[in-house]
Amino acid sequence: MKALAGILVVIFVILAALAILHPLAPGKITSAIGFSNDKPHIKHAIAYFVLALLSLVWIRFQTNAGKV
Amino acid sequence: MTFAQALFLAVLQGVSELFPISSLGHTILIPALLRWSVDRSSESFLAFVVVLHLGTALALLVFYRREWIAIGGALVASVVRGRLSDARYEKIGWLLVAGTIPVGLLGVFFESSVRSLFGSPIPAASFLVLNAFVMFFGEWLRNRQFADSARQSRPIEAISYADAVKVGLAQGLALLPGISRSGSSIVAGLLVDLDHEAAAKYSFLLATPVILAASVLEIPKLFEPAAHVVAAQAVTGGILAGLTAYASVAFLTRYFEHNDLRPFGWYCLLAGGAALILFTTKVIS
Repeated sequence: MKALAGILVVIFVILAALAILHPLAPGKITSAIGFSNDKPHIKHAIAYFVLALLSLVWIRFQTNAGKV
Repeated sequence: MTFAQALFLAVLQGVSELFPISSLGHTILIPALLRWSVDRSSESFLAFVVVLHLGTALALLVFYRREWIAIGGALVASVVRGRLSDARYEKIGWLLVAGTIPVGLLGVFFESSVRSLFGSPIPAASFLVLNAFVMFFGEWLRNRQFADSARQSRPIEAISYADAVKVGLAQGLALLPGISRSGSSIVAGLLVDLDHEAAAKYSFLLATPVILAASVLEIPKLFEPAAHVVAAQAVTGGILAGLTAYASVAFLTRYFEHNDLRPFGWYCLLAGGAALILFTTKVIS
C-alpha cells in the first residue's frame, strides 16, 4: 500500500505539472482534466497537488501502521 | 444589476445555500421570473457571486468554529503522530476529507460543462422538481429502513469512510442547478444511518471547505477592472449573505432536531413545478 501511495504521489505531481503547462489541444476530455491549451488550469493544478499531498499523508500513516 | 437587486440576491444566496432548496437553481430562476437583465457570465456578476459565497463560507466557519478548531487540531495531531485513532474530531475530520475529495473533483472537472449545459431556467426548474422527489424518496426510504428492524441512528464519527465518500458524491449532484447541496447530502446522510440533526450538521461541515475553496479560488476575479464597478454591492452583499447564512444555519440546526425534509420537498415541488409551467408555456420567456 505504501508503494501504491508513492506511485499516486508521482502521478498527481505529473498531472499537476501538466495542468500548469496545459500542452494539449482543447477538447471535452482535455478541458475537463485541465490539460487543454486554451487557458491555464490553476484549479486543476491545485486539486492534483492536494491529492498528491493526501497521498503523502497516506504514506505517513502507512509508515507507522502496526507500530505500537 | 441595481443595488436593490444585488441585496435581494445576497439574501437569496445566504438562505438558499443552506436550506435544501438549491441556491444555484434560485439564482437562475428568480432573476428570470422577475425579468431582471442580469448577465450571469459577466466578470462583474461573477465577482459579486464570489463575495456572496465567501460571506456564506465565513458564516459557516464562524457558526461551527469550535468544531473546526477541534477538527483542525485533531487532523494535524494525527498526521504528526502518523497514526489514525477513533477520537471523535479526528474521525470526523478524516471523514470530511474523504467526503470532500469526490465533490471537489466533480466540481473541478465538470462544473463548467454542467453549467453551460443546464444553466438556464427550464433545466433549473426541472431539477428543482427532481430535488423534491430526492428528498421525498430519501425520507420514505429512511422510514422504511427504520420501521422494519431495531436499526438505530449513528453519530457522525461512527460512519465509515466509504459512507463519507457516498455522501460526498451525493453532494456533487448539486453541480446541477436545482439540486440542493444540503438536500442531497442530508438525504445521503440519512441513508447511512445518521439522524436528521447529525446529517444536517455533517452536510454543513462538508459544505464549508467546498464553498470556501470554490470562492477562494475565484478571488482573482475580484481584482478584474469590471469588479470595481460592483465593489460596494459586493461588499454589502457579502455581509448580508453571511448574516442570512448564519441565521439560516442556526435555524436549520434547531429545525432538524425534530423535523424532516418533507416541507422543503413540497416547496421545491411547487416552486419548481410552477416555474416549469411558466417557462415551458412561454408565459415568461
